[in-house]
Amino acid sequence: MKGALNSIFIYSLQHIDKLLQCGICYEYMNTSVITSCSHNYCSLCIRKYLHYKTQCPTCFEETFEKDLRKNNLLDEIIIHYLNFKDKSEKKFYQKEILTVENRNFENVHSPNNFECKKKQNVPDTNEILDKNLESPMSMASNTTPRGQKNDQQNISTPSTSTELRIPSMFTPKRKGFQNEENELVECPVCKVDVPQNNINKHLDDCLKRENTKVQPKKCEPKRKPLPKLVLSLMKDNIIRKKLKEFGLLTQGDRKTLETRLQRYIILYNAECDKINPRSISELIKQCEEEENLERKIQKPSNVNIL
Amino acid sequence: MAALPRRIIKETQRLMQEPVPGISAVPDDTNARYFHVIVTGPEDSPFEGGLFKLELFLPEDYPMSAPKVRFITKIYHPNIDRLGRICLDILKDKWSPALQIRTVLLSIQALLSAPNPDDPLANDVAELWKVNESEAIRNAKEWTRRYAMDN
Ligand SMILES: [Zn+2]
Ligand SMILES: [Zn+2]
Ligand SMILES: [Zn+2]
Repeated sequence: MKGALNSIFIYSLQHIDKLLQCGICYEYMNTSVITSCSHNYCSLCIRKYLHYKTQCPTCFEETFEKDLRKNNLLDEIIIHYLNFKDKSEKKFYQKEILTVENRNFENVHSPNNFECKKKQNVPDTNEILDKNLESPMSMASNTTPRGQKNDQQNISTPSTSTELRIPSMFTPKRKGFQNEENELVECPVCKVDVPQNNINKHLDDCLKRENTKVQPKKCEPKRKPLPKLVLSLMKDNIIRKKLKEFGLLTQGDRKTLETRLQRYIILYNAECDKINPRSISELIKQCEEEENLERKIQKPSNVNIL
Repeated sequence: MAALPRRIIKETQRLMQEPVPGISAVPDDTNARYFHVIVTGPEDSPFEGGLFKLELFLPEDYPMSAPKVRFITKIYHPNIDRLGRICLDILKDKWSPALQIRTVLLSIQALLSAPNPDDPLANDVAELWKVNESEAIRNAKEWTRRYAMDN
């Protein structure tokens, strides 16, 4: 592909790429849902937000959780798009990525590498695309299929010492090239970690399997969403009882208990939109991890704002 | 430090790669949720020629909640109080996750170009702005010279 054709191709791809990203988390939508005003978000993102304000973030139309509908087609489009994108990037840009990648790796040790990094970004499809179109939601995005677990790994690696943490957050997306053999990426279809050099083959097989899979009779949800609770009206011991019932920890002050219960219910209900919801113990684990993480953030060392 | 949501990483990258004209926003070395911001006083405003320092912090539940922003440099403005707090609807009830750091900074820049004394935060300033605009503008220029130039 060259010349005009190439730029039309890139321009269209950029549009599609942007459309498939969630306007709240800027990731490719994960278990998408559609609102009655026809805006799409990750199920978890919009459910969380509706606890802040019952309106669509994009058009401000009044929206409640009960208005959300799953959007399986969009989920499927995203999976296929990511597969396509991954392959075409490998083909067209592997050379540049490899060279830039190596330079970036050396720079991790330079004192001012944040500055360095922004000037020599990995030219992945998105960034090349991004140059043309000004748009708030078209930031360069990772080619690694998303997954909560995976996200955090990507962010905190490859730095080894604490003072290198910040720069490392801006390190190249496709760190896999550094030691390709050990690098695992999560398959967007079956969520299993697969060595990066096998992911394409695995994805092919996985998508084949997915396509031939006998669809369940209807899209009957396997789990029913939990009913809405008015936490502010519940006594401490009732909240504790609920937490215990769900298998969650019951210690902490009132605010902690409320947040914990609410977090779990939102996550549980978002999970109900998935074709294959994760196990309850995984959900509990994720809630506990998020709570610990937020506790760390809430004690910023040098912030004296408000 | 805890892991950063990808949204914050993407917003930061874009701010660095394509800065908003007249505004610089740089994340702190030790806290990537804390930004050191410098806004250039807009042309044809009483703040022209000044460099205004602000701090911007992304709370733990960003983007569900708005960024917290405050002027550090003293400024004579009807919508900015003595503590540097800003009266701007998108920082309060009009916040939406569809907005971002970039839009917030642009709105602050716009607020410097168009002070709005009818929705005041600094009451005495707003009052003067309404009854004697030319004197208010003189004060704003004077403060800009005194606090926002060559420091
Ligand atoms: Zn999302
Ligand atoms: Zn909408
Ligand atoms: Zn798979």
